Amino acid sequence: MSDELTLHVENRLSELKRVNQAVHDFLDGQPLAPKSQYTIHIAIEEMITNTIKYGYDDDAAHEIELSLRIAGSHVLIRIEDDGHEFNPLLAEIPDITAPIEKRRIGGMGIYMVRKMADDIRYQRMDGKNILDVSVRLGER
Amino acid sequence: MELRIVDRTDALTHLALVGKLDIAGVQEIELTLLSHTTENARPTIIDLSDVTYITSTGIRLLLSCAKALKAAGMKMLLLKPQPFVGETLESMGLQHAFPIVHDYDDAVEQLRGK
Repeated sequence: MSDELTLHVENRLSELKRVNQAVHDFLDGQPLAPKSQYTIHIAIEEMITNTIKYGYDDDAAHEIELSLRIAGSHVLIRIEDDGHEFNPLLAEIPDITAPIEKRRIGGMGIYMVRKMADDIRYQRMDGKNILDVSVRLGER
Repeated sequence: MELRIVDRTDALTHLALVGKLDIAGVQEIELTLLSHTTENARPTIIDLSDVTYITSTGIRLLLSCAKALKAAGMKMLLLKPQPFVGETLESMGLQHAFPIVHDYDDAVEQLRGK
């Protein structure tokens, strides 16, 4: 059983199915709480979807690198892309207490990851966005 | 993702979603689900008891449905989300937008109320 997974993902939403399957196969058999597995899938899908939909200013093919690593009591997820600079930690936090008439329907993907993950960090280096998300293996 | 019509009367519409409410799932049911909120709109139960996974795209769809129904003067609520799905919905504050209930009779009662 490997402790690391690296995927090169094209910036197409159709890639998500392959990504989800590869992540599922990697996590299968790891000592991982069901809630942690759920969180990892959500975090990866939300952040990669966000990059594919909003990260690029052209129609060209781009590569997103996704890596997962088991490190001690956590799963470490790194998502690296060459899209325009974007720090998700600075994204507006939605007003989640608003009644339905005033509730915005979008803007929740990043917020979901920020709430569900144990740690999330961003850096911009050599023209790339690098997002590190940490999810603990066991039950919180 | 599958959408099932459990019940559709003059009093209410009861729809059940089955599967993953991710981007692919939403694409499969979005138009049909939204049509139930606009054509002959009724107070609506969306049964999530067989939904195993929800992303922000799924939440966006639920909010769109609720907004459309609200505009038509109709209530919407969610019924019996599975634990992880329910926790996600509550962490995103959806209980402030519409009721999330765990009992069918309670759901019907809430839709009847003002």
